[in-house]
Amino acid sequence: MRRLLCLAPLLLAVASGCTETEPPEAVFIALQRDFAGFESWPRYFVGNSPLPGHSVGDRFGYIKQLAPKGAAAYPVGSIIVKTVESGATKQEWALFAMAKRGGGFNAAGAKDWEFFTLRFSTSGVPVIVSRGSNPADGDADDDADGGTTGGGYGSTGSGSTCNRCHGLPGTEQLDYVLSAVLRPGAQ
Amino acid sequence: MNSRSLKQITTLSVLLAAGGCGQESLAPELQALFDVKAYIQSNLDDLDGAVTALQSDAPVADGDGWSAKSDAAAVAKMKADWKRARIAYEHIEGALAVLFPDLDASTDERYDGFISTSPDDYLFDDKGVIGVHAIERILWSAEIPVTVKNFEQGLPGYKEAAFPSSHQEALDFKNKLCARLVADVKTMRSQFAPLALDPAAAFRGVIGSMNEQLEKASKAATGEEESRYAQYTLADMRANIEAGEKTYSAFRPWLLDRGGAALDVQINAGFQRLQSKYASYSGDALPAVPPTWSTTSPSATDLATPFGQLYQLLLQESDPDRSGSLINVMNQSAELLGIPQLPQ
Repeated sequence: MRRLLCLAPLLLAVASGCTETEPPEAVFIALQRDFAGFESWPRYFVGNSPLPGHSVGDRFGYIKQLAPKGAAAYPVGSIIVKTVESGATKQEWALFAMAKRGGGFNAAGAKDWEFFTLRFSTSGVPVIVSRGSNPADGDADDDADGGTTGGGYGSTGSGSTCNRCHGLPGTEQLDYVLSAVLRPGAQ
Repeated sequence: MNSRSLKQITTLSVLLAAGGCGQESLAPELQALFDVKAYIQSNLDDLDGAVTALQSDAPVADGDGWSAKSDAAAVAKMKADWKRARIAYEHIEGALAVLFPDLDASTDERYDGFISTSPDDYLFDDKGVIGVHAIERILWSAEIPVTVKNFEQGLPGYKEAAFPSSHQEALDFKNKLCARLVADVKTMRSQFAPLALDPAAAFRGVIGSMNEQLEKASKAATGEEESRYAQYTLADMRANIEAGEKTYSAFRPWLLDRGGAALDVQINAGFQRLQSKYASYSGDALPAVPPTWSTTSPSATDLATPFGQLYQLLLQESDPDRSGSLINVMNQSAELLGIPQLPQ
């Protein structure tokens, strides 16, 4: 996969008819493939006390690539998946993720981070349900334009938003990662 | 990604590094991704061109803003630019919604969506109500249908649409509202360029767009339809279907390679049913909604009207559980291609 990503710019030149383009600003747009196999990433218990916007159960964080030693922030391209592992099957787990998108994304909240809600497909593959600075719970009715961002998620439809906690003033010093064990350099 | 595909990528990369631009036969899944990628990029280029023209064609600001009489030609030109932008956007909105959720919202959100969070009393700047529909609302402000006005007047924070009526408003329309749209489109265009799509992003975008057809039609009943001021929603939907078919055609060889010939016949038939129905209506607006229309329990008389027939067809084609519906067979084809679907 790493090899494929390295070749991506060349592949795009094929698609665009061999035209030259200016080097883009570093931005990472996570796709479904980027969450595949997240259960094999380093896993950390992050608690089980009630938390707004999350269902009840043991919560775990999975970090795709640990931040470099001494770094105060995750680099663009980093992904953290948070699970609430309760229910009879994995399809019942609540899955959330944040990916460092960069480019000033989500400037009014957890700057540079994009949030996701995921679910396991019946075949056990994590599928993106919703994404953005304010992802919905996957109900298309949440969104006036039918897109994949919306009024927030929550079992009561209360419209909890990731930024409500992750984007609070002061969290920028933690790179907007609230669980101490998941913060850059904490592992 | 199998080793054969990687080998083909490497070969292509070497050719390109050597300055070549030759063609080589690719594995069907890679070819599909290349074709979809090129289609989206090309429409982003068109979109960029159209919104840039829209901004540059805005009337010169004078003391009383725009005049319906003396600025008629410029407004007509902007309306044509807007329609061009709309078609390009609707060709790729499924993919853009997946890849750029926030920019999709700032570009394509409807008036009611924007003011649901906070009112916007100044319609010409780059905050609050923005994007293509904000511009549409101003350009067609003198022709807004009664049902649309009735719907919007009932919204908390409603502000009546109008042409710029001062030098400052005209300047802001061009340099803030239009400039923001141009900037957002350019961001999507530049960030999309280096992105290597995966099948899920490419295929789910088109399924999502097909799913929206019913929503687009049914909202017309309450004046909430998408391109409601220009009465251009049917043109939007024609563009959606055209793009859906084009995107599907990129995946077709891969599907056939996986033994999906029967599904291919059904998918093409589904697109054909929708295209024929859309082509049977003249103009760019959805057919008139019967005054007694009820989405929950439409009468037989209302279902027999042109709008009712369209609604019924869309209801059937977007039902994932209805055997042979377009969405049903598209979902089946995604499964055959190994593209994971959302659990029900």
